[in-house]
Amino acid sequence: MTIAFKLKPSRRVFLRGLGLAGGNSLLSPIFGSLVSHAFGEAAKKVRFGLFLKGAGLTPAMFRPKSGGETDFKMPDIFAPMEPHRSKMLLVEQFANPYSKGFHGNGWATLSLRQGQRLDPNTPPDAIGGYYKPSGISLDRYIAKKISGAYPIGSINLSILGSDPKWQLHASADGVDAAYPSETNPVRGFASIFGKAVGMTPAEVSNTLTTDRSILDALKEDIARMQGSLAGEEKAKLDQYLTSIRALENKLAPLAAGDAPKTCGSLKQPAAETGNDKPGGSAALSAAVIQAQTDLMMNALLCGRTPVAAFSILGNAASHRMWPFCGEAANLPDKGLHGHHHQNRMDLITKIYQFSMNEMARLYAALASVPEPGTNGSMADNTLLMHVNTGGFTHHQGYQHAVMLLGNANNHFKTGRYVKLPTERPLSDIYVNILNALGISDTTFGQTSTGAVPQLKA
Amino acid sequence: MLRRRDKDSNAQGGNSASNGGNTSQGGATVASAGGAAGTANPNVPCSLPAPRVVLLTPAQYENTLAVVLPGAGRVADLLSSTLGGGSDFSNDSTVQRLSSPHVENLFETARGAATKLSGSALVSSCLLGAAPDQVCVGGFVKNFGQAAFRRPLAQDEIDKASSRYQNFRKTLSAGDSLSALIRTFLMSPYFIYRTELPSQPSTAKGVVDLSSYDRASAISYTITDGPPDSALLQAAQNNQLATADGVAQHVRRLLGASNTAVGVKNLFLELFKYDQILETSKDPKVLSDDSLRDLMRLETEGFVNQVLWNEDANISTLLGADFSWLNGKLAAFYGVPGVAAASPFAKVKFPAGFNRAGLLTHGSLLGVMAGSTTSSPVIRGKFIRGQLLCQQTPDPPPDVVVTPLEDDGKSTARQRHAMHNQPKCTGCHALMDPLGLAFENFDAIGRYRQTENNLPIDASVKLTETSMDGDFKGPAELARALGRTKEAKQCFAEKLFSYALARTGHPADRCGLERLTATASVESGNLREILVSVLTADSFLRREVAQ
Repeated sequence: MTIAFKLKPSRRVFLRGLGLAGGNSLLSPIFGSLVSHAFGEAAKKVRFGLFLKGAGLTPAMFRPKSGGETDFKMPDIFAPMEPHRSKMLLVEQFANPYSKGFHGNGWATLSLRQGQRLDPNTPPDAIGGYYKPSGISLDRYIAKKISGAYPIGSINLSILGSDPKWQLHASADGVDAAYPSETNPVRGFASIFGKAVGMTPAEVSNTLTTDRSILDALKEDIARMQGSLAGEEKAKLDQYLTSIRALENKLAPLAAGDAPKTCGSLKQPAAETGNDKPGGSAALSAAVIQAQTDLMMNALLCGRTPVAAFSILGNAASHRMWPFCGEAANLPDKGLHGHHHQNRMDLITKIYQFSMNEMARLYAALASVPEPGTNGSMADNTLLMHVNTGGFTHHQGYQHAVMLLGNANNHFKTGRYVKLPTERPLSDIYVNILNALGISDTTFGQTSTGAVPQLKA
Repeated sequence: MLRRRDKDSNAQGGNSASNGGNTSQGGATVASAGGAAGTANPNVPCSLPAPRVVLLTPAQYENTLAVVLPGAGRVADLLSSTLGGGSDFSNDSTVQRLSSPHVENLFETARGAATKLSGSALVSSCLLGAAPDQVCVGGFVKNFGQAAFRRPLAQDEIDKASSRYQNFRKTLSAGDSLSALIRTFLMSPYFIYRTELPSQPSTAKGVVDLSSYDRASAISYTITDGPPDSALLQAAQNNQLATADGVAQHVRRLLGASNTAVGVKNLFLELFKYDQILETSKDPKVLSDDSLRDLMRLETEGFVNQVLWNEDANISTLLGADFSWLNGKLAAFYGVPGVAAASPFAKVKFPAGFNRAGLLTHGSLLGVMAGSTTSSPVIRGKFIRGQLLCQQTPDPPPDVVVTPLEDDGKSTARQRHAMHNQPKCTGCHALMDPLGLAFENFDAIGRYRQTENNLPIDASVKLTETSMDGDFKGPAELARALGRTKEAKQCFAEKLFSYALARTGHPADRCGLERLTATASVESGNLREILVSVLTADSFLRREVAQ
């Protein structure tokens, strides 16, 4: 269903809603960016999309069966990428010692730092042998660097639940500081695109006024409470304040007509859930996976955020079934987990193809929309990355392969399959990614040796 | 002897406080918490944690919301979805983070809840009039604020909130204004956190009592998982919680009934994680009837209730009872004779010499601590060593690639685990495997068996590094012996201490914990009395201001 906004609030009404009309002196930098964006400031020029998968990926599935660096035969799991092969880069020979864990360590795959055990009483070879967030994740780091003028720093979506023991929140803002994912597309839509959908101008105005007043009141309470605290305890409330400010930034509604031209029409997801429970072997929903990809797509197209992450499957929850990929209900040992254990590579391939199709669909959408102020498309300024948090094995994986899509301002020499001559830290390609997005860091995580020169254009 | 590890020194790579030394076990170094400097003399005060705030868990938030807005409904699951974890206990304040997605979740939850005013006795009709006067608004703010913040509001807080309401009325309807005001309360840090602040604001360095209202909240959220009831609030108002005796009186009152001690039940759920049996993957060959999962969960839940509130509340009973809480179907699955098929859940005494005893032989725990198709002596052993004896074993060496020992179809688990006898492995596995192998008579879902792959199971074990070192034959004998050990009593005391203090491994708590483990209540093994000792200790009732 396509939702149109009932009414487009005038700039004056909108400003009044924010408490800014009539020469209000509260026009802080936050409001400035919020207002300018809500009224269609040109989209920013760099974007990053992250697709995570778990349960491991065998080298044979990742590697082309024939051909050379540029004329390689597309691996079956990447078949949906064929239309975009000139913008694709397959790279292997990366390692991350901190990824090791029974079913990998999702946090460490993105932070590249050693994490503490979630449950020190459970051995790493057991279900529950998982870890805590070990540092800032790649997506959140990029968000902090490039999303300053956007309403939302980054979005983090997944199709499975939130329990940290299932390693589904690979995104984090630091040690023990998960940046939780949204599993429900309906809630995600409301969070990303605001509650202005279907509201009258008066309702929009009142909502914004009220929300702002409430947040102001909270700041007073926080300051009062902080007066009785010190050190780490005081810092807890700083964190609350930071999160409140992030919420303030998001309050700007996205109104049709006021949105960037790149935005297109928004489709509210069907009220479908069912993928959000991590355990057991219940069937996943293709519609929810597709709806989450749509959210990612629209968030980038509409300029709500420049960074979007989507964990299509966490590590330990890999017993969930994929009937829409041909998985029969009566198989022993179900899901990606079971297929790895039972060597059912045909089913693993189909599941990957489904996921890759989502990534390809996102890229095609970005490629179809001109980048304002340039001769190119939004895809030209976007980099998508796929990595499996389980590495090259289902258990204890730490050797990773990465697929990039998009050459991101011509940083990468794409259209290639590259097997590096020697194993390098996974963090090195993350440095390439940072550089491609205009972030001039030379290291990331604990093991960096620097960007990989062979990948550059 | 293997002793408890100081978690903090392990986690942070160093601790200035001395400890009792290290023992080396075949390459496994296990730190000891014993003998911290300056704590042996009970006349020397322990150092105490600083004043702090503790985020309400989603369940505590929901229970608090239910008091101020009874129609608000269930919100805990939704709030849980954006709250990370990473500790034994969900209330551990050291791992709770207010990420922006979680704050947004709180914001939207408050928005939804604030519209559910109809059930609240706190909402006065005078507020909905055309121009409510200050007395009306102030009265509402005072009452609602006290319920929401679990303490009386200061006059300036009342004035500010009243002023906000009047401002809302300039642009919003009466109902919307009230909703907006309520949202300011529900999002306030004084609502989403409980405070542990001094009774009197002071910048002077030294040990201070928590305010009576903060004590009331600390007691209540620990025991009931909800806000203080009227009796506790009254006691706080009358300064009856200023003494340990006054606190003990209310602790015993709230601990006295299983229906109010929700927090205590939650403690055991989180400690043993027995509800994970609902989610743990099991091959259909092992478990063909999924309805047994919930029956197993109900067994453990009912058994804990029975032990804590209808038996002697003793650790030895919890771990070694000759009864359980079963219905007809689960009794049949376990092979307990004399229980009619249609029997509802009730206490069922085992026949003499039965193969089960206490919590560790429940299908829920045995099933959670096992693979999809096979038992796991390592997981079971490590759980007992870590969670029941508080002795931690190190991770495998970094050059060891750990893979599960697959069932080869022609051996027993004991035979397969013999590979752990090699020098690189045995230092740690000798601590874990025997404890787990004693439970080999139970398969991956806790079904009793005498053979595996048509080979007889040998569940006899020889334990080391415990105060009950020696030979044991089978799970029931071992479970009963475990419940009588000093280590188990001290370990339970440590878990209860961590839960009550809502944090684990803080250096400032070491002294208080050592004092606790030396008390008669811990020696007795009575879990309720141990909780009384914890909740009347300085660690719970006082804080230390650094400057």
